[in-house]
Amino acid sequence: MTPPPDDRALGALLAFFDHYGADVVGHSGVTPDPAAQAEIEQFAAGEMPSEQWDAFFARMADRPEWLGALAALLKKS
Amino acid sequence: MSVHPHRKQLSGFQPEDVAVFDVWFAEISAGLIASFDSIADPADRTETIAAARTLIAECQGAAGLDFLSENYSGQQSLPAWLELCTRRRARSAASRKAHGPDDPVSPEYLEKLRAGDPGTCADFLPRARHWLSARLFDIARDPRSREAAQGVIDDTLSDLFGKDLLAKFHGTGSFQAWLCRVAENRLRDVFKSGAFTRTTGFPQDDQGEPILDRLCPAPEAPEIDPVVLETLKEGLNHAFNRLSPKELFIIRLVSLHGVEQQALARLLGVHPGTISKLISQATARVSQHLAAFMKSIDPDGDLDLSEYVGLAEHFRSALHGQG
Repeated sequence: MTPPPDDRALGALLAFFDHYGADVVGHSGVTPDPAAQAEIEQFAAGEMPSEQWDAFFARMADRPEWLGALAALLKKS
Repeated sequence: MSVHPHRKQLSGFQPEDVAVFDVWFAEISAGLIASFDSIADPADRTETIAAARTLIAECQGAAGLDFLSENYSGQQSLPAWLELCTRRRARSAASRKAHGPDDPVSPEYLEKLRAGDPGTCADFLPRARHWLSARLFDIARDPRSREAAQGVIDDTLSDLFGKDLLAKFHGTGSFQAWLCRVAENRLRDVFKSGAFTRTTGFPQDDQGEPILDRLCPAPEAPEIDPVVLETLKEGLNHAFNRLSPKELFIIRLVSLHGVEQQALARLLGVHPGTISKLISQATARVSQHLAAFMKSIDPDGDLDLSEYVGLAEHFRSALHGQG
């Protein structure tokens, strides 16, 4: 499905920002460390308590390249 | 993401510390004007130093403390940020000088154009062609790019009447700036299309490929001014760092990774409309912050969000070899 124009525009800006601003190497094929991977799987399975979400979002904001692993799990489910 | 110590120092100043701030800023900015002494071109040097002096004046006193607190995000050192602002402003001033000031088009003139008045159309077309050539030939520098730019200019002028492009101008802002933006976005779309390849104007081989391109391949996309690149980076830092981790989390998953909003809504236990609303609001805020940033570093500039998106897509294409 083609995302609506606003999404695409935001995606283009974010991709640029992540690469040049946040020094993110790429968004796919980056493997999180084992602790982060476990946390990502817990979140994707809906098993993470909501009171832990904010800390999880903050960690993902620091390591946006790990979101590719979460996206892959969410797309599978 | 780390914040430069200058930003932390700046945040520490209270309104009553203005005198201390002025001393601190004088030390920080001391090298700025001296750093431009090495610019070889005298006109460029004069323009840049004048822009630096204006900027330094804007950054002094209580108003300057507010200006810096609002606009300097701390992604780089303050001298580096001041240099970026100065170069950007000097570039705009030079461009205005080269291309002339904005050519005002009155509402009455536009009405006549819309009605197809022959005298107004005859007056308008050469003026518009001049504006568009000045703008597009600034970014299209090799023969093939210029050929593409010429095509875009012809099509844009033709669509103003034939496809009623003129009706899309809503009268906010300058008509000249709007028309130039439309044409520039169209040209960037041409550059991004798979059918476009640059040539150098050098002889071609028996396959019709430029010989020099084989020896020294042309870049995937036209060169972009490093000042524009730095401005874009700093502007996006300024805008995205004002979003919350949750907002960044959601828009990265949806807009970058293509995760369905419904799937995310289910996981977070909210209505899909909530996710959609959050993304719309985040987009609007990013747009507002970018606009405010651009105005702060270049009050006379006319970059808008669509141009930012065009530039970002252009860089992404170049980055991933999709030029």
